[in-house]
Amino acid sequence: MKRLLILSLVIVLTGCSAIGSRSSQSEAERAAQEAAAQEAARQEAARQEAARQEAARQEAARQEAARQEAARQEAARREEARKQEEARLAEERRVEEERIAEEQRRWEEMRKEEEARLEEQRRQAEARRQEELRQIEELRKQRMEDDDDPSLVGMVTEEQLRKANPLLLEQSIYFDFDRYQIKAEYAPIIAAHARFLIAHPTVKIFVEGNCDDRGSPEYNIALGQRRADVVQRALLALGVPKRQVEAVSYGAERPIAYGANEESWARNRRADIAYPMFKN
Amino acid sequence: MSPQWSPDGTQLAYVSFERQRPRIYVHDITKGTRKVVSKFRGTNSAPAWSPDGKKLAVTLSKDGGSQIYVIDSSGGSERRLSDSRSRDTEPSFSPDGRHILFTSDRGGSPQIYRLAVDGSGRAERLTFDGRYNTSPKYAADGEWFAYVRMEDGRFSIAAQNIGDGEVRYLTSGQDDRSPAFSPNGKAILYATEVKGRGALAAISIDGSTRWGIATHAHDIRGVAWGPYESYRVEVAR
Repeated sequence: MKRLLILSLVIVLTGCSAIGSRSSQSEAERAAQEAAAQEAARQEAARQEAARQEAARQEAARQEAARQEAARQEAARREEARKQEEARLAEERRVEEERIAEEQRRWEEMRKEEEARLEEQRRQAEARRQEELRQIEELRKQRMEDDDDPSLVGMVTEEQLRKANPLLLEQSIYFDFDRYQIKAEYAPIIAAHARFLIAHPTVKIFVEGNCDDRGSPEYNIALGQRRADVVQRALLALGVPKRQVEAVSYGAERPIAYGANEESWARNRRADIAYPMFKN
Repeated sequence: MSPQWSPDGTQLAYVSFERQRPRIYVHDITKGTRKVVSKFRGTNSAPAWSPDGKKLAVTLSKDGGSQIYVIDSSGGSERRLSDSRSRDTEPSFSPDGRHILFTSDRGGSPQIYRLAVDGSGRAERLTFDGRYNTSPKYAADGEWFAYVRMEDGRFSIAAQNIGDGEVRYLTSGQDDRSPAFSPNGKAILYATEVKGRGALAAISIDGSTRWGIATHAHDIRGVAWGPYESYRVEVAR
């Protein structure tokens, strides 16, 4: 655009000089004017060239600045990414360290538990050993005290019972149908057994409740238990330690008489005092 | 003794004396395994399945006197149900699992009572006729129960309606015992005596039809009708 303007100006100036020549100006003046005009045009061209170069230089500088800015931003971005990566790694390290620490704590706890368990086992084993020693000692004493003892501790023989008290061979308490009250006639027998058990603390007995097989088998189990319980209670009331007597019911499941008559039924309605018998 | 099928027919609960004491076992028929589910001191007897098969009502004497408890059918977590100074036994779950019937001599003679399983309310006496009524078994409808009654030394099977107390005398044997309902609730299987020998018989619950069931056992102690009609268990000596 600038160039077009300058060109138009030259043309106008040229036109003017042509007009000037026509208005009888001297040839020399025209030449001088022409030279001046040419000089002016040249200078103008040079100035324009300089302006163009200046513009190009500025453009280059601007591009350079933009490039530098982009590079700076890129660097900043990389730095930021690096920092984030570092933070992430640091977090990972921290989590991992925590995990390891937790695991160590757990192992430590397990180790302690295991140690405590082993210690408890050792303690129990030692207690058991002491208890066994104590029992052996007690049994030894018991045997020394009791000449009749057949050396099998806790067991008795018929002979031993007879010698201690003939009543001890009476080992059944009989009941009426659906009843569990001990009749007065059995009091001396129960007292004899109580005395024997107190004198022989290693002897443990069962009291076995039985019924005749009339009626409900399940109800008879309960009835047999009641019969065994009352005999057990009588023994305990006479001073026999509880650990020596276990009351159990067989209901009508273990009859000793099988007839369907009162005689058989009466024999089955009973509680037996059952010693661990040593048969020789 | 006292065999009882689980409701799904895969397990059998029963009492065994094999260790000199009555203990309750649950035998898994499908696997052939068994487990002691109750071995308290004294009596462990009379198991009865809850309708969902998860619980057993049982009789224990561990706290003195025979009383009714509920335990898990896999063993453990016992909860006392009846609380008396008498003999309570022979529990039977109602079909909805909310009540049990049981035998108790709290009134001086064995009679049948009903108790809510959730522990609410007192035991309600249901039988008043005679001095010996035992072995209650709920019918599938939950309205009737079968039981054993004794009169003049003779034991027979009867059924009673819980709602209105109507009693039906079903048999007239000398020694009938252990009534067990068929799965559809229409018939009662029971142990009886024929010519001095143990025998099995069944009777419809209206008493109209009675039939004998062949068995080789000599002395039948108890009987349980399996949940699929086709098999039964009998305990014989």
